[in-house]
Amino acid sequence: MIIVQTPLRISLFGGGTDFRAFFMQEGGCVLSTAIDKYIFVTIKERFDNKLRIGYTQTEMVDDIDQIHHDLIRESLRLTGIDHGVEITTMADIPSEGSGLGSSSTVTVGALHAMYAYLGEIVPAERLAREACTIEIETLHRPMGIQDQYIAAYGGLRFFEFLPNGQVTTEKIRLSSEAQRALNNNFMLFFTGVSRRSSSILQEQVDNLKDRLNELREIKQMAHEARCAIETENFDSLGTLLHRSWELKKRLAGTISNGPINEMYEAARSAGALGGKISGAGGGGFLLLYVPWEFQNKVRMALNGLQELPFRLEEDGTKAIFNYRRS
Amino acid sequence: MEIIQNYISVLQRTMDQLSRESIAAVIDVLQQARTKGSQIFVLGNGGSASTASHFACDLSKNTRQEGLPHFRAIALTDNMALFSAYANDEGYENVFSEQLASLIKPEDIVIAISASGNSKNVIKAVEAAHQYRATVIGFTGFDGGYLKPLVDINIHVNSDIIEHVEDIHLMLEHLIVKTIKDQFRSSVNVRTLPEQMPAESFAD
Repeated sequence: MIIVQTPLRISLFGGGTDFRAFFMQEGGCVLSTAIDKYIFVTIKERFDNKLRIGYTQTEMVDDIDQIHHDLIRESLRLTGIDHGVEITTMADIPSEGSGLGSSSTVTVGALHAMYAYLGEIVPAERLAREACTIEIETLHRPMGIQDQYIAAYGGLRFFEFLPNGQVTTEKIRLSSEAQRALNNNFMLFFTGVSRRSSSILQEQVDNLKDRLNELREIKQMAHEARCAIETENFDSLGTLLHRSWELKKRLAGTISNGPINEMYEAARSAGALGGKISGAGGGGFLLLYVPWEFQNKVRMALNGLQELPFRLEEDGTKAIFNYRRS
Repeated sequence: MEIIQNYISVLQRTMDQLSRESIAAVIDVLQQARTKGSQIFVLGNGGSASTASHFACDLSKNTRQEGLPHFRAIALTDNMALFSAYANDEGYENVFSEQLASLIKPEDIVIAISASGNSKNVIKAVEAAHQYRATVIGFTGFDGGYLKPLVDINIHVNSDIIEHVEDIHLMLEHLIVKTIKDQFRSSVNVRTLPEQMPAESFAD
């Protein structure tokens, strides 16, 4: 029995520049953080040769090809496990359409659990790379490659995606004061809308060639945001988030919508310095940067929206239980 | 001068006889423990106690690498309050086994270091480790004593000279840590995407 814990993430800056079509031309970068909300993947050998997959549904099949959960199916195929295991996934928040990177978190976690089951040592880099292969190459999902990396590595990180295909990462070391400020000033609200990211992301991909200037500016802001955090200039981080969100909405018409714009404006009027919809947009979770003294006002203004308290998470995917009775 | 030269050349000859396969097997087991999050306990008496502390230190700190789990290693020779409490109240032969009883879980690793292989407290610790279904690694010298046949993987130093046995045990600790440190080095700092994923296929 193996249990792997993999963090969800909040994408802060640079989203869109991690699409291969963009960074293979001019390079991209993102600033993103893992949070203390997780997806757990368990794997255990079975007495018989069947495959049992448990999530919102339960599948019991004899052959890999019969599995409907495509991320689990392709992870099994890639790691070469083809019979006699039971795999379940559990999440701290409903996975579908949260904007917290759940599909990559599941994929990285599943790969990690499967390699642990095989007794293979696999570094975070390879887990991330193989999760990209599954989601983008095999399943043709229109998406960038930041989620896979942050799920594997954890922490608050700056990633650079180089035109030659290389990915480099740097963990941003925060003073304890900085850590407190970020943990205290970020707020997360569920918009009440679950959406499928693929149509929004597809629109982003389709628009890409006409949005090069926006993407360049978004990239520039990721650098500025990193600087703001490292110099502990937090209020300018909030303002940057606002500018970046205004820009991001131009990448695809569906990233925001009437209700989301209303929530965002209400929060701004109540004292939020900036914010964004985490992930592809269209729904899921709304991230806000709100100085401590205005937080209650913002809660009142967003009356009725469910809040998700969270903290930054240091660790990436990890096996929290690994025990085989032999 | 002759005594000095003699020490060095005999030491060299003893090192040449070390089983490379056993060393590789130990490294493999330790890397597995790292990915599983298993705890590694190191123990021994006298010079071996010092090597145990040194080993836990190096394994914890010097192996840290971006993108890989950390080792969870402690030496059972470092908590003098607890060590002396067990020695005083339960008998010296129980100083390690009693500490293990509180901490050990199945699939953990116990590294037992004993030049003679006959230290009673080390043998009792190994017996406890087996009871809890942990994997036991031995570092021995002389004829291996009672310890050698009790462990899952043993690295034996074929010498009757206590100084040489302890020298080589310390060297083994460094060799193992250095190998672990270098094993994944190339893959860690810069990541490359699979080459079969050209930019064009995502641009249209």
